[in-house]
Amino acid sequence: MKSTESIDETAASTGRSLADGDAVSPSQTSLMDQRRRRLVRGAMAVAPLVLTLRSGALAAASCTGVKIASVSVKNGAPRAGEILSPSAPLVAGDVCVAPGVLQQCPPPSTEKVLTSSPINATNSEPIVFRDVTGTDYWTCGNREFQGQNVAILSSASVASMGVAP
Amino acid sequence: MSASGEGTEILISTPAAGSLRWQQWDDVYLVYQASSAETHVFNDTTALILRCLEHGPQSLTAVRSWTEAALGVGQGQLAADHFAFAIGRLEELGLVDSLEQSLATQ
Amino acid sequence: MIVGDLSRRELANRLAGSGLGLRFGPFNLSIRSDLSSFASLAHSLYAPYPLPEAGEMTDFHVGIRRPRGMRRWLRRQACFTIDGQSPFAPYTIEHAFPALEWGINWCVATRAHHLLMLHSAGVERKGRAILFPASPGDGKSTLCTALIHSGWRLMSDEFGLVRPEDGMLLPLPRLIPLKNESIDVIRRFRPEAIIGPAFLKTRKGTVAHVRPPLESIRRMHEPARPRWFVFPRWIANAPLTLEPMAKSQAFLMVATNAFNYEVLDETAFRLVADLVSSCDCYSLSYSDLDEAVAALDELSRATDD
Repeated sequence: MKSTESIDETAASTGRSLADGDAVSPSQTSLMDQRRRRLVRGAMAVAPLVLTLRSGALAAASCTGVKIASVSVKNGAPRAGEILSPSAPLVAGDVCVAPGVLQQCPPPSTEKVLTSSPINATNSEPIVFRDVTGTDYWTCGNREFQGQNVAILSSASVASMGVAP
Repeated sequence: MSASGEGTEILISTPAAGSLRWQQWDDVYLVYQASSAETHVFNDTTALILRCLEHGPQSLTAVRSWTEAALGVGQGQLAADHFAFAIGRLEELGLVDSLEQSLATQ
Repeated sequence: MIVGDLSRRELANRLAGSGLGLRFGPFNLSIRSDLSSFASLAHSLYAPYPLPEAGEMTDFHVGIRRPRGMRRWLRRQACFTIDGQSPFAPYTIEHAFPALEWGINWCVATRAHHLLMLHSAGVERKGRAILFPASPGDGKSTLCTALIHSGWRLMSDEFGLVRPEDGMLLPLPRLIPLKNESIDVIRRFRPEAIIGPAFLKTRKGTVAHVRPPLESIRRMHEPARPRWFVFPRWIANAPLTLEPMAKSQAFLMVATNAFNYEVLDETAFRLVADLVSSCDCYSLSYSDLDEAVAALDELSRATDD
């Protein structure tokens, strides 16, 4: 590895050596642009990401804690899509994750989970607060996952799994 | 960059880290580790931690401070538990090692 | 020479004897079968496929035959074999044809490690290929079938075979198995499509095989340069969206969907990185085939290389 080069230079030269005929990766974002994005995205943007591809899936390192392992989402009106009786307080930034995406970590971390497939926009939704006088409630995005059991992860846990905030 | 006198634990980069193959798109790094035949996904923070250690052994404090500076964020912005997570994971992958300072200076 | 040049009797004799040679893209097969129903279907659906030249090596010796022993008479079953071994449980004899097709998939996926094998459909036009990496149920076979009946050449509906030496995509234009509702969808979309009989109650539901247009089969030796990755997802009643995808995400989706990414180690990493670097990457959500085909036609026209 070219140990004296910056990460940008290493990536650029590696991109050239990887590609045939100069079909290199897109132009490397300047450090200033990256810094600007981090400032906009806030503290979670500096949280380190370390994922490993294993057996066709991404393994989130060290297994991530799940806020709620399984909670039901109401199917149909009234209050369609309500997250029913969450066992832990929900806060803005928490994320609903569809069934089957998470799997239990091996002992002794059985209270934690890792992804069995990438978390993306099609299998997760940030929770949304529905402000109804006297009967506030939370939903998964725009009332997604109705009739299903979902897991609830904190924003920090989701960030550790590589999902951009 | 010289080794910091703070803390007793020194981090070093391993030979496995020296033979990583990198592919970067924006602030995501796809990394192939030949020593384990694994493919990893890193972000700027993780990549910069490894970059810092390319210059030689560093204390935990120095690595964290250097990484924060390189990220363009203030001191302490890289949360201690996040930093510890990254170091622990990189150790598990065999990309960094930690030494007691007394051993590192021998 | 093609299968259609053989009479049904000649074909049945070869199947029952030393084997029927068949060429599917980069692979030569020898197929043996003692099932008359299979012979009849093979003569029909494999008709345009070429026979290997004399002296060419065979990659896979496969068979679909009645099991040996008492089971041969008690229950009407068919066993898939590869090199004389039966890796799978028997199928009902009525499912012999799809059983052989699935068995050939298994042979390719477990043995063709001189190529990077993406779990992906692929089509080509003007020398440039679209790859559709997808998980089962995402609708790639249906979309692929629609495209090849709309001016695109079939590379494969299942395997994106990438040659490590130059990153070119090799064609494997085999029959496309459609499942359940997709069968009628394609019948309505292209009534002229050649679709074999429906096999009911298979392990994957109802299955019928679409034979690719003749040009796709005739050009099975022409590789193509990958130019786009499109990750399709059929969603009922969904409006069409074709959105750029971050290359880092595309890399992960391609790598996690590849059959032999971990087998090929650094070669796979380099190849996938090269492919993603040189291709534009998109996610496609659709519910209407005509809209999806039009969008992909426009994508290829808009990209002026």
